[in-house]
Amino acid sequence: MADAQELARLLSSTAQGDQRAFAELYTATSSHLYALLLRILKRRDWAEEALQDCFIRVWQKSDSYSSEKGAPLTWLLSIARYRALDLLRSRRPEVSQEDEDVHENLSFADTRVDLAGDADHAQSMTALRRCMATLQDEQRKSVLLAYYEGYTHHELSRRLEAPLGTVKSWVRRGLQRLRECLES
Amino acid sequence: MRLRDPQARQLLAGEYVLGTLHGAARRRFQRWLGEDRELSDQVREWEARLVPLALRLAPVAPREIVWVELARQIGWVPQAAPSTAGAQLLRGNSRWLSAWATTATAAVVILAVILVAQLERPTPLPEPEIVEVPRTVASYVAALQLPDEAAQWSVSVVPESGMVRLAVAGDPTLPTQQDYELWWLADSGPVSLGVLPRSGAAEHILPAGLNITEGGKLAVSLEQAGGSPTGSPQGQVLLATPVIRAG
Repeated sequence: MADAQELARLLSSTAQGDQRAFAELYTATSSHLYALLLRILKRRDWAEEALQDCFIRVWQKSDSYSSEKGAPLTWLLSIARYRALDLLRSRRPEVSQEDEDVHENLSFADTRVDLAGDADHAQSMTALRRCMATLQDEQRKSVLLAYYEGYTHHELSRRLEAPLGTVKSWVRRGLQRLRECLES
Repeated sequence: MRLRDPQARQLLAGEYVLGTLHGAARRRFQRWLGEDRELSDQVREWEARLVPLALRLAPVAPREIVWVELARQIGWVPQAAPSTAGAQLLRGNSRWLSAWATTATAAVVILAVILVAQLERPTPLPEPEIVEVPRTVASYVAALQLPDEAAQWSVSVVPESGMVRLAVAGDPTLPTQQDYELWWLADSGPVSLGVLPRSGAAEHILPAGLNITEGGKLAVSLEQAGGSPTGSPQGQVLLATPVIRAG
């Protein structure tokens, strides 16, 4: 994978209308965005549509990127995730079917990802894994279900068979604890 | 800006990024973001904190058709295909062959094919020439009647425009957790032409590099909703039928 500096260069060239740079940016990052979109949306057609939307947005809005907005890949993945959430909320009326694979991803142990050449990301991943482990089970589960399934509080409440207020506090405490741990 | 408590601001930013903040509260938060620099910084921080959750997923390459469609939507007119640019694209990644070829004119497609041939051959060929081909608009059609399915689909493939049109008559009895996926049976294996629509009509981009000819075959497989996640048929193949030239 291209490093952050290279991606930032591609974004800045894209902002000036450089089609080649945009194509390179797509090659370098689309598989990461698509993996996330597939994970959240579960359907190839939706994930493909969302991926297109993201890159159209990137093509049109790459001039709004600056280093203050975070690492380029973080910025791109955030665009993808917000798009996935919007799409999910407009199309998934309720959480109906059980997600057969929902449990498999709730541990944070099975990390297999190629981040060669990007020490920053590797470091933040190690830190997040360490801090996730400090969360109580329900807190961790709530945060991960919200992240990967796009669950709302109501959906979490149904899914985890717990009152709404309880679930809300799991999410908040989970986030709070993560932040404290990551900043310590 | 009504949100003053620092801890509440932090948590709201976190819940916004996580996505548990939704509906009207999410929209209100988005408005605040536009006018509250500190809050948008906090959102950036949360994005950075949580992004490892996305990065730990193994990358999945999207189908080539996504790029093709993207290039079309952006309205790119391909560059006048100087041979160096074309060769670079081909060298870099075979993805670009199909991506660029679809958006290109017929002449450029031929140029690309010559370039591929050139790359594969050990002995250098003369400089590629741009060849103009006579344009004939051909379309190929098929009617799909699937087993145990009340609805019927019609398929129309127009290689010239690079489009596949699909239309359904009747209400599909297929459960919503599944979809029918249409495939072109190419020599190299099945190539997805998209999921059959459940109502009305749909238009899909025809993947690049398909040699659509009379008697060539379409197949339909039963897949999970949205189509096969792998890009190859995973479910039962329900039908294979030849296309007929219609024009």
